[in-house]
Amino acid sequence: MSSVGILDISLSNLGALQASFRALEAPTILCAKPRDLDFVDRVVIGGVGNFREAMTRLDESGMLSALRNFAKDGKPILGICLGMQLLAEEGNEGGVTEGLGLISGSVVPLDGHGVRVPHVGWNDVEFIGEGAIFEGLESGTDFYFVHNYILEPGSDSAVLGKTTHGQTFASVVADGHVWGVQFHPEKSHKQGRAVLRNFLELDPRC
Amino acid sequence: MLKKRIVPILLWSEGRLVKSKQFSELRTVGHTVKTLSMLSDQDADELLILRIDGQPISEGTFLCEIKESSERIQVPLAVGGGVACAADANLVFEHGADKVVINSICYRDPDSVTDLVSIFGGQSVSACVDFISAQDGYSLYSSGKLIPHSLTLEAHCRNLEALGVGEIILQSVNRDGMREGFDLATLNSVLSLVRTPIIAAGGAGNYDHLRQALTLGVDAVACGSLFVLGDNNPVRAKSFLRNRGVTVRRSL
Repeated sequence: MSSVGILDISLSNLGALQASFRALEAPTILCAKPRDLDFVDRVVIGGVGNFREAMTRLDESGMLSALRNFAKDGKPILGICLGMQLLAEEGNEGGVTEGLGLISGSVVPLDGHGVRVPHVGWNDVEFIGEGAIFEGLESGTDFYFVHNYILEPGSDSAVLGKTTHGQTFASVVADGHVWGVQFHPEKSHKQGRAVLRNFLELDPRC
Repeated sequence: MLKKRIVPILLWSEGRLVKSKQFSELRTVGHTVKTLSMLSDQDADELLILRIDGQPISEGTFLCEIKESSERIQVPLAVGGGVACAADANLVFEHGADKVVINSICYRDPDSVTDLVSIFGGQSVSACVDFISAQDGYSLYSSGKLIPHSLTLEAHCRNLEALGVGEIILQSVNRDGMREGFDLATLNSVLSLVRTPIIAAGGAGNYDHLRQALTLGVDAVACGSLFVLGDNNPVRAKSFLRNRGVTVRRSL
């Protein structure tokens, strides 16, 4: 099996992600600088934290353009939680900030109508259409969420999963080989591991 | 919609995983890493482990065991006991915890609770409130001492909500390890007082006790003796609850 890159911008603990891939017998490489991406054929952008801070670190490390080129080459990228949000064109946490621009749309606060925000806990994802990343899973499967912001996609065609907490939002997005999940597969038991396994099995050539 | 959570609660003291009765009579109940991994495999929704020996959280093997556990389990992990400042919390997160649990600093040093919430986000900070009920009301209990009566349970929970903690673990000392059910009256009164999610703790002895608390409106139930001292597990607990109309997470 190929190596998976885990983006390392020193914002969060990557132990759980590394452990999940270890359990799937997939070698991981922490990617902190553009050169590290030469050794992997897919990348996971994980983590929690602040949108603006994360984009600043991506920019300073040179990873911003390196990741855009990685995506342009058609290599799979999976953004998790904040990592999914970074895929958008624009964020609004800590001021308006340009994102990676790999998924059309912007990141806005979750508008919890009469519910608690942040959205924390196990919630179900309704799958829309066919997503390679859901292979073997049923629509309505529960995943673990922890977030305040959501990605509001520019077009419905990018939305492959929806979840409701106060409002219905895109919990899974995709454009080509770029994927984003708002939940944490590395904390979501067997179903989370299935998502990571499906990501490992995506064939970048087709 | 959000699912109700089953949260095994484990206690760690001087290198041992233990279970208490009314906060004393510690019995050794297993191996930390093995027990946490097993409960994760048995479909717990989240795991909670507290250090109760009064030592600083960084002393001894506690955090090493947390790190090893966090790499084996597949669900969120909350860790507490002896967290006195942001540096302690940071250590806990670095060892793989998803949430930090605080207790005595909520009384002693509310400013550092504000710090924790602003640095790590309220969703990563849980406050544990231990209370003793008596005929004339409640006493709050922390680090082996009673808190002066001027602070009531109600006022303390309101303070915690104002400080922005992500959830409150409401634990009855009287009922700890007794397996006679949760203190439903107290849970009910706190539920009507704050909007912060509540985890009921202290007293779970069978699956119907879990149902009683969850239908009252708590977000989660913490179970110690139920899982570590009996032939019960989260998979069975959730089947029982699902059959009785409680919305719990489906397992694969």
